[in-house]
Amino acid sequence: MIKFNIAHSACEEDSRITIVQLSGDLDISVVDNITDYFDKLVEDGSTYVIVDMENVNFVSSPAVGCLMGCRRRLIEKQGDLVLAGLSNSLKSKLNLMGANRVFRYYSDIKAILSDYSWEYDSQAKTLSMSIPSKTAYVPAIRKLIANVVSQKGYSRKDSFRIETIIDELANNAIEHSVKNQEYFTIDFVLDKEKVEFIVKNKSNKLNSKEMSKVKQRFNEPMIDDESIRGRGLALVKMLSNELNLEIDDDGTRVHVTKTREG
Amino acid sequence: MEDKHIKLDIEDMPGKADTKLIHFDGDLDSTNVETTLEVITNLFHEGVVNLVADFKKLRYVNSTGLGILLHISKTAKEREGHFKIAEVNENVYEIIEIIGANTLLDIYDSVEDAFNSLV
Repeated sequence: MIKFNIAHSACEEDSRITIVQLSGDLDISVVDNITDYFDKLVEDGSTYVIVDMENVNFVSSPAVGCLMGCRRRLIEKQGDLVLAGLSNSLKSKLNLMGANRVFRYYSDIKAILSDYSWEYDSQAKTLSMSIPSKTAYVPAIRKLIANVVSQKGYSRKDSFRIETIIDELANNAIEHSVKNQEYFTIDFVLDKEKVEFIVKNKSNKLNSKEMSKVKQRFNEPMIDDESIRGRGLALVKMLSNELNLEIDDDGTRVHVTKTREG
Repeated sequence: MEDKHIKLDIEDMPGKADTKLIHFDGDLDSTNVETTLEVITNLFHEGVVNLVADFKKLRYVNSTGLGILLHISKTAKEREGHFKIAEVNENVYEIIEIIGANTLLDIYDSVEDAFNSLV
């Protein structure tokens, strides 16, 4: 049996993060020690804590409950408590106790730092994609993007709306492109407050009369009850916060911004 | 990319040769609107006039998907029949609502309610 121990240090890569090392058996007798230790940490200003579980061989359910309580206190201070260094067997034991629904588990420090800077420094994620100009590729792309935003904490409703926006704009980029277009592109910038997309395709050169007609149709999408098509843009307009169109010799660019609602 | 992302199960209604129940499962989008419309057009050609669409497992619909639903509804009316939709999930309903199609389509909470309305 390894003796229970608790210690902490500042994270080398980011001093705002505290690392707590636990070791030994986390049975019911150590619950008070852990609680007192975290009280002191919170008092000293720690907000974001990684609990390193690498040297823990047993966790009792009161200990899990105690860590949940510690996490709640850190969350009140706009921080979090995440778990690292879990062995597979410890992970499955924790999952049985429902800990995976409360704690984030990490296996490496880089992933923690990336999520931390996303949460606390509002760092944006960017993604650029070239997609074959074929309708058959669109479902996979729209689902991929919906998954990325949902993993970043956007609500199901938001990610569904974003999936719809991408679907409609991608289908338009295929439909309204020049005949021989092989690829169209989606540039994607995501932060905690909003998502921005630029969907770009090659399009035929337009004279000024055609241009104003296209812009008119873009700004005031009309729904023709008789037609199966033509409702996409109206839908995107309702689901997004900003929608702009640019057409020049390079092609057509649709820029859309959708703010996070949940 | 053979996967069509949607499955349609067509169920006969005992004693009602002109009525079918269709279970939609998956995503109705630009990759499969044409085949979906074809399946339903064939039903009309076989003499079916009343259709109840069960959307319980329909995860997603886009604007072209909505386009064919409106088209099917119109065709059913032209044939003096009905196209009824039941058990629409919240996300799909939002899309229908934004397009203003909720006033054009007959939507019911349950398949049973949809059938009862046919009498």
